[in-house]
Amino acid sequence: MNPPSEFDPSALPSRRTLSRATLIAAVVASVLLVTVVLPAESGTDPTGVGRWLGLTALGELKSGHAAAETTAPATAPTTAAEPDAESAPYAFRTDELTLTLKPNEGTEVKAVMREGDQLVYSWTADSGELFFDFHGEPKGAPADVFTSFEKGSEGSAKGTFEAPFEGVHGWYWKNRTSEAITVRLNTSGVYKTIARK
Amino acid sequence: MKSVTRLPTSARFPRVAGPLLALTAALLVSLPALAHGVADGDQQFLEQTAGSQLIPFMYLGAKHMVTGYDHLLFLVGVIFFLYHMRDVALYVTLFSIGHSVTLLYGVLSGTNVNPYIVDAIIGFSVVYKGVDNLGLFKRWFGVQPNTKIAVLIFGLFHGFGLATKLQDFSLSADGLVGNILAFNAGVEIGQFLALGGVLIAMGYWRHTKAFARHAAGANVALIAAGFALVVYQMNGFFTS
Repeated sequence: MNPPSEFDPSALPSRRTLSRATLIAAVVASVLLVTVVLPAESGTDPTGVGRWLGLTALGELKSGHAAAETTAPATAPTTAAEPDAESAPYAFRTDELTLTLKPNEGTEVKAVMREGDQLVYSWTADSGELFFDFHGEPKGAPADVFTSFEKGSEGSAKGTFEAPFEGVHGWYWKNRTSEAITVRLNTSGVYKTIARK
Repeated sequence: MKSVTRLPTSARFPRVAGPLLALTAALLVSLPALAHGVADGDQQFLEQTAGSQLIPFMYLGAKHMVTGYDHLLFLVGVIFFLYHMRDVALYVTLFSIGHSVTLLYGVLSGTNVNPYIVDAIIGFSVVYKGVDNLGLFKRWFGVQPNTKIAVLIFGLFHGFGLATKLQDFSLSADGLVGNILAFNAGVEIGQFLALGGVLIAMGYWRHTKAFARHAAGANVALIAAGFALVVYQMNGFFTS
């Protein structure tokens, strides 16, 4: 089927049509850029349309994220606790995770654990010190509920951790230096998954 | 299907194939940062929100499509030799039906598909379309696969690819169905916008005398890009 047919130049849009289409496309693109993309990507909303659409919050989250996290590490997801109902215990596992933080960048790495699950951990920054907040968020808790276990600023840390409640447990790291820092985390223990949030 | 023109694979083919293959492969391999997921800030938003967030989900769907080079490459392949808008509309609709079905089904049913395998198949769909455009199925195997059915089927795989990206996140169950429908609507809007740009660019290109000369090479490049995607994803599959 579909035998090849000859090229049919009459089917081509005329240059005039193309020019008009280009103009329309440029206008549409500019309007979308100002009313949709800028608000959603950078929180800049010159027209107010982005806020009306509810997109400015998305952009503000991205651009203002680092500032917000200095005071409240728990801006990270709390709905992250898995809605799984199966009661089988998590298997023992070992993970290694490496990530790089730009100057002023903060991130979270969390493990999904049940009450009583244990892990051993060790993390090392390749240079300088990282601010860290080792904390846990109970499963199903509202957005700003978390328990901090240990805070400080170090170049490395290791230890053993037993989850006092079911939820996600792990580190908030923030690079407060002016150089990029690469941190390597090794964990072994009983937990479902560990991942950067 | 009068409007489909397949260029003969002439003697030009081998001359352009080598450099183009090399260039495309080099480009794709040198871009590991393009791991095609949802951006970090978007991810945080997706995971933090609960309840109905239709417009933001729609935006993220559209953004995912507009910035999704694997979906765009396939679309470029699909419309490459479609000259009539009604054919473009027909094929793109088939593609949309395909990826909507599996996006909605995948996320809402919680079906887990390995993202690397799905993305490798998506890469393969790009290879298929390039080969199809060059008329090589007919030439090599003596049969021409039904192009409409093929677009629909590959659309199904593209939808699973979109679904796996969303499934990486623990989305709140609150308002999920509406949000996913909005995300899907956004994917269609993004596809429509991207397609508009592609059609305009191709319209100008088709007006040039060089189009016929470049068409075969462009489809070879498409095949190369598709293979690079396959290799990239399989590498991810075996190393993850």
